[in-house]
Amino acid sequence: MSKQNPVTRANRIYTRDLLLAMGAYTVILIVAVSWVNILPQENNWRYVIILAPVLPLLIALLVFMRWLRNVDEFERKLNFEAFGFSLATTGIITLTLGFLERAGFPDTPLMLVPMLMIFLWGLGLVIARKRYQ
Amino acid sequence: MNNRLRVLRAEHDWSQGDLADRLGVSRQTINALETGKYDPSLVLAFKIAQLFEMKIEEVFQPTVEELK
Repeated sequence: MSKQNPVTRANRIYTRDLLLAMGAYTVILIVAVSWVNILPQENNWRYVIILAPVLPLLIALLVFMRWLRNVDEFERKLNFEAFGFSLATTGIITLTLGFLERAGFPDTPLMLVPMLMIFLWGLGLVIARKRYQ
Repeated sequence: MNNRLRVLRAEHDWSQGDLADRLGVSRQTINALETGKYDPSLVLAFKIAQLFEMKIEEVFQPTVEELK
């Protein structure tokens, strides 16, 4: 069949573009952190420079949303279930940590929350795929 | 929902991948449809029926429970 499966095509483009975006994120993050470390504390450009890595992350978000629109309905359903699992579980975990912090438990860095969400999304996908096998 | 997808695919001597390519979905989707774990949208159900040149109700049959 000469016409490529649109799902296969969407997966291929997604992998390529996400790798590019995350590669750019890594490079910009390293440069931004190194640059900020050598700038004097009173230089307000520090805020702009340290926010630069957010730009490739926004591109990664667009790449992901495009992929989600282009995959088939079953893949979207699996991801919907995985997102639900990730959202609810992250909510419960962060709320639990919040309660513990009130009692003197060490503060959890906010930067860990998106990593937790991504991990739980992946776990949710594994669970969802098993359910429909 | 019961369906005759696996039988129809076998009659055409297509693999799950062949059918997936013809319908523009993933192989996992075909597997979930064949095992009855996933019911397709109306659009996909029509595409499947059209591919096999059959009426939609000749491919998909709701269970008695679903019709209650």
